[in-house]
Amino acid sequence: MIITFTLDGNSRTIDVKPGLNAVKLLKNLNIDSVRNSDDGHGFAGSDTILLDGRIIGANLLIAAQLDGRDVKTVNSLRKGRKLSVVQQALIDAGCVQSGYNTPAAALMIVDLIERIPAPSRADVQDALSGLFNRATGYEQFFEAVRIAVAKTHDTEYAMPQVPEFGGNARYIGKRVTKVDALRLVAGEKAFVEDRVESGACIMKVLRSPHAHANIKRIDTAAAEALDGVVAVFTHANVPRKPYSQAGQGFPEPSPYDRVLIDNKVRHHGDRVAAVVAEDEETAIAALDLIEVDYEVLPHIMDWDEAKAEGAPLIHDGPIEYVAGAPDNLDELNAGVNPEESSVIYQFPIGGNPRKNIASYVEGGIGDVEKGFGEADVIIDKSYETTQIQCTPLEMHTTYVKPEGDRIVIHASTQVPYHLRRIVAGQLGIPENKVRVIKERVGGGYGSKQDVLLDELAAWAAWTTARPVFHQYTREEEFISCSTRKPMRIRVKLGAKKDGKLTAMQMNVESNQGAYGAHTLTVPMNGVSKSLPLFLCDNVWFDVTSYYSNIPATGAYQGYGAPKGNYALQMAVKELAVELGIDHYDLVEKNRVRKGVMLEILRCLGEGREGTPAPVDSCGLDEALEKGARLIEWGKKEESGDPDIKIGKGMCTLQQGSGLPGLDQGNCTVKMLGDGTFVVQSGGADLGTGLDTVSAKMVAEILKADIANVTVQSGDTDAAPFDTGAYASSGTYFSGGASRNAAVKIREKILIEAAAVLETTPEKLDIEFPGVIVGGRENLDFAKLAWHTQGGEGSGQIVATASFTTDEFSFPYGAHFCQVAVNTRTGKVKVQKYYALQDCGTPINPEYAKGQVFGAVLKSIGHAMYEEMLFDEKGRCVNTDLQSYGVPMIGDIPDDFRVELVETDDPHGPFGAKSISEISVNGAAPVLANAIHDACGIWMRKWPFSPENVLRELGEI
Amino acid sequence: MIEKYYRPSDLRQAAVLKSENPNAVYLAGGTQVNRAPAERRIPEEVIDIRDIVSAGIKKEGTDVVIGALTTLQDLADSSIIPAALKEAAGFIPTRSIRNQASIGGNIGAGRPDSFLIPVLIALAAEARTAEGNIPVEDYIRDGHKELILDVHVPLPVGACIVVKESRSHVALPVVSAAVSLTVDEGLPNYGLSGACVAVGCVAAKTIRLTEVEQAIVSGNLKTGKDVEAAVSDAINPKADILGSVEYKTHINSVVIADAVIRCLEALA
Repeated sequence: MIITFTLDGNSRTIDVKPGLNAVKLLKNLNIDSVRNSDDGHGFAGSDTILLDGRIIGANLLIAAQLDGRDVKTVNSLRKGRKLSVVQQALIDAGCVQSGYNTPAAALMIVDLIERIPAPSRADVQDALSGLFNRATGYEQFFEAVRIAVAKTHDTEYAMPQVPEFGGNARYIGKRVTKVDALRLVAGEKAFVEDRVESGACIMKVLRSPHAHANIKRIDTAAAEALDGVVAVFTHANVPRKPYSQAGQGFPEPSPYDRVLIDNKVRHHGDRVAAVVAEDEETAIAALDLIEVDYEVLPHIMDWDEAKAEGAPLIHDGPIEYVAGAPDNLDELNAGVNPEESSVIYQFPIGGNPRKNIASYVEGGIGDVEKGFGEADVIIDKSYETTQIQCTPLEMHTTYVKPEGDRIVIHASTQVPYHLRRIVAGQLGIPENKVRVIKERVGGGYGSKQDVLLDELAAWAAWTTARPVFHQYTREEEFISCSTRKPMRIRVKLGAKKDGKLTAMQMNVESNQGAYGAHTLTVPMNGVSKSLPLFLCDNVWFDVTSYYSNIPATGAYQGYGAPKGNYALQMAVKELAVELGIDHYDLVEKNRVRKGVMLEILRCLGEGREGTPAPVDSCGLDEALEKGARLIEWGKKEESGDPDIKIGKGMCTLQQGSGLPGLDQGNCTVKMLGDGTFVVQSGGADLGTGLDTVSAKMVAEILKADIANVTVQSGDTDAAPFDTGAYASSGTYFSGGASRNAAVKIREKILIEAAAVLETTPEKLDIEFPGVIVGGRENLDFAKLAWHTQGGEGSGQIVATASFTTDEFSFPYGAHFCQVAVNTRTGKVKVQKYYALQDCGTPINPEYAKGQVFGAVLKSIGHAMYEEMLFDEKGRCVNTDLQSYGVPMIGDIPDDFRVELVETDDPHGPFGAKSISEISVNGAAPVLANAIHDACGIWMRKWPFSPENVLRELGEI
Repeated sequence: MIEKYYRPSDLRQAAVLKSENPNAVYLAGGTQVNRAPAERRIPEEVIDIRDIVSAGIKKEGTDVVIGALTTLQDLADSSIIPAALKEAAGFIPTRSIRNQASIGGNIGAGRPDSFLIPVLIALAAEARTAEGNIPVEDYIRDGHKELILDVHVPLPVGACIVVKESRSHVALPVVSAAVSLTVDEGLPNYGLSGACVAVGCVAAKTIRLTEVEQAIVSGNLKTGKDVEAAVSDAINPKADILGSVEYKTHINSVVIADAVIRCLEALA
């Protein structure tokens, strides 16, 4: 049909299918900023437009409904290069992290301010009620509205002063426009889906309806015969080469226990076949034509079923070792099923697939039995966590193009270089034939640390010689992705009457799911990022990870720490109650502090031998003192309603700053012809501000105007190697590499300048903005570049440096909260949440705060609302964001604050430690402890849903 | 995907289209009809009613008349509709959905977790359709499919309270109910002459708890606990991803009991 409508002020008349989804229609009209995050559930708001002046989700509209209407997108807000007041306010307030739906937020706020010139907090919450934004925690949107309102009424409005860090530094610790913010808030092309060219094929994957089954027969003839189908792949025509999807440093501690497409499916959603077709409709139609005969096998869904006598084996193929094969390997391989693919361990991690054990490790210091013997009080409790989905706004997406004898992958990834290695391995080509271009990432949170779809799309593109676009549906995000591992953690603590800990023990059981990504390191991290928060001479732990038929698990922000810390911090609170000691006092008596040596790390090496490490900076003193003061610790609050009980909770938390001894960052800085700089960083900015960190490092050290520093990151052809954005390594390792490269190019600059000025480098210095002083005349960078890059010059000034270290820099934090528990309905309202965070020197303070807000709200969601639910056949039954239960702006604490506690770490660049993951470790224990304080129950299992609260209260 | 799209210009044409295309569904705002293409539930034929059904709210005598295409946001913003209806419209937690969804579409979809249907039943609202007036209660109970043109809502005499409960702000509800009490001065028990307890989320459709209503009017329910017990006896929810039978029974009992007590207190 012919429809006519106004698009951003211009009349458009087009011939369309009336039922065409409006998001796709707008995409066809080159509107990239209206995006799909929920497949038309009307939930996430990434698809927001203004329709006749009202905000509407375009995903719930068809083309015919646009006829005669006025449609405005974010393109209507920007005038030429000038952003609107609202767009600029979103940047100023630090709201632009992944940026995937920042244009939607801008439209919502524009609509709000037009309706209500002076909106209240409730008005803002209502305006943004349809915006799902996993990264930000929403709190800074209130600041953005305040700024926008003020600037709307007063064009001369000056931004309010914000806390600054980094002493006299010009950029470090100061508010600077995030380097990718403008393009993201403007809705420019930035993500993988924006790179897809006309003529690209679409790939769709047929997924298993069963949790565990052998594929007895698969017939693709009808699908292949369908017009527009380019290729169909099954286990019969892909390499049978075991690998791991875990994006970890090689050799990985994760077993190679999957192949591209197998003849056995191990979870609901596992790959069965892949169709490459000329268009999406054909690809979907072809999936329906594939005939599969399954031999359904018994399935197992948790640790108890996995270790039961006679349990079905998830991996019954041969076991192989690259190094360190156990003496009984032949015995383990006796009677294996030769039809199944192998499980290959790079080195021993205690796994025994014959018992569904993916990995096992144990260790300790001192004599834990002696410690328990000395205790006056012993607590011995178990805590359980659930399977959690990362839910990035941008669903997993890849676009792969053959280019001659190479392949180019536009990826949304946290690990461009691991992705390159894994794809090269599956395609059987060297790494120089693979180029990965990391685009802006619309949220990763760990799920994009794993290579979940790029390698299959790359195989399809390589073998068909056609460009292939593949994007998950939201359902696939749940059943075919990388999720947080459920754990059951037994914690046993012993203490003297005065509260001094005498022994600590953690026994961790982890539900690994179908494949072994991060099987060792995640649960071990639950131990290594919680036990060192307390000082005790006698400590023991063991960690067992079980294969099962739940959808694959992997990495998620916080890794294992959110589970380990939940269990340990709750146990400490339970110990305090048992001892009759105030929780705060018990923590103070036993906690880690600056200057101590963490002996426990000797046995917590995460896949390699560990070493004890000193705590060289620790902000817990200030964080605990300030947090207790803010929350008025010890003051009992009353609601005035007999059904509503108020309680307060606290906990401490820590993380790491990358993986010393394992991680590596590299960076190249180039001086251009006019004295400006391009920084080529291997670091993968996920929207966290890492590129801005790199720009600041370089500008600060070179005393250059930061506007003259451009960062190009994530292109494996252009930038040197980096292990990737995981384990909170960005600022520390990738930022450290940028600092080191800047230091190195500074030395070169002074040497070259000395030659020009006929002096020695020692006599020269650099002053802002990029002027070399101390010689016979001042020499600016532009002039130096002219000297070096001319026909008689010594060559372009370029420096490359790496960052590796064996030094640990632990970020610390203390979280406090106040909850109101309705004992009739079981509902828990978070009234106050204060996160006090030590990240050393906050390099980007507004984005550091934003990441803390986001992490806290994520973990509130994990603890209270979210859970993947399965039916009796092992199928996930809540595969959309609403029924899964992610928190929205209406769920944020009434009083939500983040305070950055500055410490000067001796190892990190400019004293920085990590910020990205740590804050996700707090909400579960702090909420559980507050709920106990309110009404006396112990929430030893996620989620703290109204139903579970009522059960603990004995109401149902 | 929608393959056939019709946009009639008058009711007669709509009726013809519907009779010729019995599988076609009426398209109002589109929040239900266009929802979740990934689930492939989108109908293949739709009849867009935008040119034949109106939006708008006006008073007519003792009724408020609401055009079927009136959006839920317009209800939430209205100062002339009954307060309980206004509040129920605001229960839809997402502004963009309220901007798009219509009262007619909400009734027509007949979802068991609708926030509007319980309150419209409690307020004794009627749907005016192309074939005549139908009480909303009957429309839902009997599975009517007639095209709704507008909704007539009598201004309440007495008290009406709406309640909702969900795990998180935007989660699907486990409670969506409305309680209304009508009064006739001179009668005992606050002059109570009638009660309506309309409850969603506990059955395939919104239902009335008639035994509870009779017990309220007769004054047999003396305390909140009595009401809770009566509601608990009257409902039979099914377990699903939102909760167990025990939880759903409990939460509906206590929340609806609170609504009844608040209604009685309002009369007192």
